[in-house]
Amino acid sequence: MGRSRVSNNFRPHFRPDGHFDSAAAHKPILVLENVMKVFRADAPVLRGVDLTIERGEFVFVTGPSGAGKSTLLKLIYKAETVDEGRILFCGRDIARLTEDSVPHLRRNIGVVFQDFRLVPYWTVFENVAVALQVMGLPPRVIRSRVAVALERVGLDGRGDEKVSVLSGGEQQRVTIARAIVTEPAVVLADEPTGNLDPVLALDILGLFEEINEGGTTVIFATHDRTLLEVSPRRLVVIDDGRCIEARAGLAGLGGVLDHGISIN
Amino acid sequence: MFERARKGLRQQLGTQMMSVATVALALFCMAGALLVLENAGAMVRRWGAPVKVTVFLAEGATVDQVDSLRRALAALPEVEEARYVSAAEARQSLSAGGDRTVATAPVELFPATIELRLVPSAVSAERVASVALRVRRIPMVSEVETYRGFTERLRGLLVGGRAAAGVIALGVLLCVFAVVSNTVRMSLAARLREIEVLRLVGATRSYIRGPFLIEGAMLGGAGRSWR
Repeated sequence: MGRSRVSNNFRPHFRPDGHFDSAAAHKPILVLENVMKVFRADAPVLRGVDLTIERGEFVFVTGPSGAGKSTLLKLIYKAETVDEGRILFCGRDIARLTEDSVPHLRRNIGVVFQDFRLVPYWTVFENVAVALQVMGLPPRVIRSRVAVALERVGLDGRGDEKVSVLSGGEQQRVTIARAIVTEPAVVLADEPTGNLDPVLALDILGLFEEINEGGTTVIFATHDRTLLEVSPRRLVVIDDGRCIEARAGLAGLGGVLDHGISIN
Repeated sequence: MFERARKGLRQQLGTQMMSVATVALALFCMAGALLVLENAGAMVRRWGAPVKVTVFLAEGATVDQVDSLRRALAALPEVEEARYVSAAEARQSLSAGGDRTVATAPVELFPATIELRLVPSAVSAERVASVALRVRRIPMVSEVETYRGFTERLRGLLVGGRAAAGVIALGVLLCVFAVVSNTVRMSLAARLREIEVLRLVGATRSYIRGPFLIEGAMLGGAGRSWR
């Protein structure tokens, strides 16, 4: 299966007026400073998370169920707001973005979910193209870029099929195509292999690694220990609302992960 | 945007048609309830007010006196028609059901009257009572019957009926509101995933809302032309 390379220009243009912010290209893609998130006063989900992610990194975020992995990702694409601390995306504090700027932030972030979040009565093409249509690109450009994205995820020529007839693995590939079709600065994956069998899970992980090789920053949240073992990447463990770092994957953590992480 | 609205309508045609039909039926029920309420109000106005007055004439009143009294009463603004009913006509009217006792009774037992038909809904009970009081003072008049007791009972009944109709209409109105609200929510719930995806990929609020507004206008326009 031939995969065409897509240039991955970093274009942090999350201002409503679409102006290019050249200074942002020289800053870390993501900086979290003392981030706190509380849903229940007696049990804060995140209690002072500090994390810096450089451009082009592949970072695993792991931790037991309910540790706050999904919350952390939601804070990044502003589905939730921080209670304390700052999240700097390309040097800009996303908490200070206006309502009008949030859609522009999200156009710079691709998100992949465990439950796919596809529109079942749309075709594969429509589910991927929507990410470009909201940006107002011409149909000719959309057709060409969707075709490239579908080819990258191994679904070339399947654009006319309804997503509801696809297998779980294929639906996840459509979601990944939708996340990368805009050539975003960062791709967030929230347990993307949670609904897939171990072989498909490794396949999907490989896809994310290919995306990362193209220059896109990937933040991959999972509690699947197998994936962490086969891919020795930078690992961030969220435990008790705080981050523990391991630059060399599981090996750098010792016995920290002996509880709460499943083995597939 | 029009293209997205058209696509949305096509993809959710069944749900959309069901929503329109449900809303139309709910509004039809509401209109029916309001019609019942309006008619109950009209009945109170029409039948709850006095409509008839009978002026009993004293014995010995001459034809000229009776005729001038009839014309004077007919000239009153509240009176639509004033009709003289002789003693013989009164007996004939009362024996119309075949009662031989009444038919053979002496005609003197049946007083001559002037029957007044009042202008519907233009006369209050108080106004009729005042007119009756003045007519009673005329020497050739022995008695004036305003049927006030009957009118008041009928009015009470009609007012009660109108209140019941009002309560029913309010209940129907609440049901209609709930049905319309739930129908719109169900219709929207079918599109929630679509809205969620649009928000996720960075659609602006106007981009998301636009096609829904156009779809609503198209459905409304279709409903109007169908009507």
